[in-house]
Amino acid sequence: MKKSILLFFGTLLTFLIFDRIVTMVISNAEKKIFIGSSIGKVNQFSKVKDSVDVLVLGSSRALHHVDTRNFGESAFNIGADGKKVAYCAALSSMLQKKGQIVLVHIDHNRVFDKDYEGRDGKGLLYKAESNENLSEFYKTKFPTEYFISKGVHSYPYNGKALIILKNFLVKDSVNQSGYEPIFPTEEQKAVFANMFKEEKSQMNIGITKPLSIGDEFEKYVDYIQETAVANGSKLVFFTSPSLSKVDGEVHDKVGKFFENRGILYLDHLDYFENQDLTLWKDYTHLSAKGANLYTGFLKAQLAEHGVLPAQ
Amino acid sequence: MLFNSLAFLIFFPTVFILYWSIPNNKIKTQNVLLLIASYVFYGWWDWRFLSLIAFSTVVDYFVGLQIANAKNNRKRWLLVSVFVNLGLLATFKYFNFFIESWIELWSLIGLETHVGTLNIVLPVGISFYTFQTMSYSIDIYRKELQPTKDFIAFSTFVSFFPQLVAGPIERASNLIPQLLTKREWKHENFKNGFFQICIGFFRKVVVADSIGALIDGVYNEPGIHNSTTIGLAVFLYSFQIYFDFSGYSDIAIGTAKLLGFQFKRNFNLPYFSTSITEFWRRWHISLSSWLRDYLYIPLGGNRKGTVMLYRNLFLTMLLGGLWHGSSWNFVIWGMFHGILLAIERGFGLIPKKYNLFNNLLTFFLVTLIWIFFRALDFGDAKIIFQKLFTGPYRELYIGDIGLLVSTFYGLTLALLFDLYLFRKGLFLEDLGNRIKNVAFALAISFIVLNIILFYSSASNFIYFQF
Repeated sequence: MKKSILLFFGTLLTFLIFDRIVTMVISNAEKKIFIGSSIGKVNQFSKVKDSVDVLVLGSSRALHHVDTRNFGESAFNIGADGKKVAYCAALSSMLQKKGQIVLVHIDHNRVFDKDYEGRDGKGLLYKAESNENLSEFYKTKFPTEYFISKGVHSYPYNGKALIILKNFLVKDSVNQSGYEPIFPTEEQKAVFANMFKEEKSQMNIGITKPLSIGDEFEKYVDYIQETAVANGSKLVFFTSPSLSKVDGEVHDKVGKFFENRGILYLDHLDYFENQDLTLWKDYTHLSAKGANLYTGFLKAQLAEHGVLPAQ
Repeated sequence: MLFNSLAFLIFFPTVFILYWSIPNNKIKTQNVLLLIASYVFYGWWDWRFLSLIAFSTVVDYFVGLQIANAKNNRKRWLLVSVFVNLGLLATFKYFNFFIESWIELWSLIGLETHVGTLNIVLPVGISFYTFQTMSYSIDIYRKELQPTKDFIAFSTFVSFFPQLVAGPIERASNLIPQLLTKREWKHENFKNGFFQICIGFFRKVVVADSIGALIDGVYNEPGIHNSTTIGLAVFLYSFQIYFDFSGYSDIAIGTAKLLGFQFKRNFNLPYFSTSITEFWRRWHISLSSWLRDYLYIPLGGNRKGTVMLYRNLFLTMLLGGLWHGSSWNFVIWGMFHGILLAIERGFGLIPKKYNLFNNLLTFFLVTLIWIFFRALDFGDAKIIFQKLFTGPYRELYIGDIGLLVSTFYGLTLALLFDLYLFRKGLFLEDLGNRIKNVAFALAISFIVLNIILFYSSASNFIYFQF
């Protein structure tokens, strides 16, 4: 057994050395990347977060729906595919600028998702080493992952290594506004038109009744609010237009949730009443044309609520 | 409890340390520990279903003793075991399927019937442990095995955690004697087991789970995806199911080795087969040999003429398909394999030597038949076949390119490793011990680092649902 124990610890030591070297290489490359919709964009965010006046946080719906160029040069959209409220909370922990306008996009079905565990929030763990506030966020919200990352340094780079290496070789940068418009191809238009014709109902998808707010959702909203209060930021939660509808009870419940917390919530799910398919790429994503129209409306609404100066 | 969970990463080292700390490796104490650990492992998922395992254990323990002791009623006792085990399967796995099929059958001729279905959960691993215990009673009936009087050893055999929920389906003749013999620590077992566990994890969490993340959406809604995307999903599914299940078997076999047990090989590079017949000798070997010994041969095998041979092959595969799940898709999947096996046998199409063309053809056929296995229903399978064979293929793959790249990275590594084993004629089960210590440490470090950098978030093992 002695031989086996020696081999086991020898292997463990070899692994730890490997882990250190590989992580060092990846982490150095990562810091130089300013391209792509994940790593590069986060670096761009880190660069501008303490200077811009307006920030848009959220999922791909935030990314493709809010054209931050319409807010002037001092705005950045850090929406990203598959990201939800936990990821927004992690991003908000990094903010320090006073009086910033922070717009957080949410979807109704996520509010009531009992199975949501906030796994998307782990996406910035690799940045915890270089940001004290983020490190504190992970220590309290994801203690297991934080603990593992202290021992196994490559752990936070899970799923990112190849993207980093690929993007390291490309010399380009994320667009300054962060916004990514969608221009549907002819094929996408045809597929969606076909789906739209056949699909009967898109009501309350992913929502089960009786309605009850998800614990994790609540936890991260509270966290975002706390950081906003600490920074004196103007915090706004909003839901952008979608063809996937919800009923009145869902609208009311979400509205009440934010109202009870004293948070401004703008529910624009039904903004596009007509069914002009050129405004859409699919049921939940607007085309560039739709996004442009919607951003104009959002700005007006923010002005109406005193978040932005009157136009 | 899942192998690819934090709970198992704490559970197994704890069991391992306690197990080898028992003074003099006392068999009885070690078996009690394994039995408790196995029940904890299973109960982690749902403790209520432990009663089913316990029931099946008690029944087959007593039936085994009765068959051996009885002079006249041996068959009657055997039937008790068969009825109890198949009864459990029929109730928990097939009852709703049969009822729904019955209702659909009547609706085909325009009659509406109302028969209640059961609101029950399918107990994890029920198909595996019922087959395992049933084969124990059958072996005793055939006088190929002596029953054990050691109830703890028998209970451990039924519930042994490395293979409890997804196999390999171990035979009593292999496992019970090991449970009754003193286990000694062997360095070669450590190297072989540790290496196989690491490969198993890589296959599962890097390759199979990444493919799953990529293609699940395509199989869930084939109607909205283009032919290129469908073709890619069909191609990749062959590897998902292989690396998912063989990965599980590797972890199971490796874990057992670290506890001093030798399980039978369950996969032997099946995608290097040059015929469907060879494929079934290399794929899920513990199930195919079970079906051969307890179904195909009792049906008459190849001893009762050509027509009966084809019937037996067909029936065995049909029921083998049904074993996988309570859906007509699985029956059709098994049926196609049965037909192809019969054609190969009938026309003498089984090559004696490896050749690339036959290998690719076999892979192509197996891949096509997997569509029935993975599609949500027969309608979806039809859409997939239509898109696959009518194209057009001018549109590119639509989906997450980043995930596609990392999936192909993992898949390439896994396939190169399989190719290496195939070309060298090596078996994974004893590869670890062939590697020198420094290379072993480097190889394990490389594998574990790749697991950490490329694992896809935890999803269930596909074979858990069976």
